[in-house]
Amino acid sequence: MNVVPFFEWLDASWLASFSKTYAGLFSMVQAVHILSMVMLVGMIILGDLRMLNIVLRGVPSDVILRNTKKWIYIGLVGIILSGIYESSAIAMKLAYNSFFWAKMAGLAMGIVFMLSLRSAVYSRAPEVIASTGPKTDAVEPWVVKLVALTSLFIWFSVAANGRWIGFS
Amino acid sequence: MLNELLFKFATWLDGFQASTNLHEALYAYGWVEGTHVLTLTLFLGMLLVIDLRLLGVAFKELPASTLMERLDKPMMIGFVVMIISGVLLYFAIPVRSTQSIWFRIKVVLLIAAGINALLIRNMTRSTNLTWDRDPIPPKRIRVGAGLSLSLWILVVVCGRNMAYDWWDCHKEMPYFMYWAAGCVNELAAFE
Amino acid sequence: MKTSTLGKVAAVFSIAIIIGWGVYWGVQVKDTMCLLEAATSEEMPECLENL
Repeated sequence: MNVVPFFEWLDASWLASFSKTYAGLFSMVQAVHILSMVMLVGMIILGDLRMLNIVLRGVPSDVILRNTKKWIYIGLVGIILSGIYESSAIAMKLAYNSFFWAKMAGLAMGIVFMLSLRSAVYSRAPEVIASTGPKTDAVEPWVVKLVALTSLFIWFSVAANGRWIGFS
Repeated sequence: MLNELLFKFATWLDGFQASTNLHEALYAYGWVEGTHVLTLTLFLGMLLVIDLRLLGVAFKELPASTLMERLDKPMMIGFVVMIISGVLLYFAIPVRSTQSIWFRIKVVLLIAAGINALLIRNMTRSTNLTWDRDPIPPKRIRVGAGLSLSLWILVVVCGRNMAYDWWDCHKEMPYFMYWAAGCVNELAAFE
Repeated sequence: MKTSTLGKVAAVFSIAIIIGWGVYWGVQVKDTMCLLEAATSEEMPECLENL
């Protein structure tokens, strides 16, 4: 799939001419991007650390996970909208930047992983982790922890790649 | 007066070989800066969880004290890493940072956030919080949590803007900006 | 999906992601280090030839 034409289109769009003109606004959008990342990744870290029994051990995990959901989605919307704005200003640079593509791949993988395995496994976590009362049918504790570590790893790598787009 | 002192201090720091090394070793500098930004997710992430609870908009089923007490440690670990990496970043570029209007605002905001955090701590330290299980805490607590979040958002904005040179001392600016940014040499030229 | 199946699927995918993504990402990190080195040093670092 050749995506370069898309970036050429983005580079020539009104959004790009706008984002390239107003430097002050651009830095505000960058701040929104960072703050959205904090909300998204912070809430995911809370859920993952909880399922590793590192924080809030003994507090029912379903309560914590349910509460993080809304903020994860708000963070995702914020990060994607501000991200599109930011990328329009440097579209042609990004089209050939391998870090950008690694970050997009990681983001897509993180979202899919979160909605599928992470959420399915967490909702069937055993009593030793979930603290929601005895269950007859539960996933092994080590699988839950492995999923938590994988989730932390994916999101850490996405955030770290974001940092490096600026450097390279 | 204060500006001169700060400038002298920054110039003194700048004289260290280690400062120059850290600045020029893009490698090390990038790592420190990356750590500084990534640790935000831990520090600000946990702060966000606590403040959203104190605002009465999330985690309402849990006692406020549970979140405050048990998330304190991960939050403080993040905070310590941020302070250490932040000091290193300042040490790598001392003179420009000292004369950065954004850095100056950021420090003031950090102090304000610290005082606010102490006030919240005082209001929530009592052994029997009557509102601990209330979904929505009393107004003074919500005001404190709202202030805390607003101050930290502004701290992030200032930190981000430090990277830009719009109001660096070498730019043409009104007298007030030279004064506010503490551009000692440029101010002297006015006299 | 049966819980035992879910457990197995989750374990396999998690390990695959950690290894597969870890290797891919490790290469990315190494490349950046190389570019940073090239940008800061006078001489051409050897790693550039393999990029």
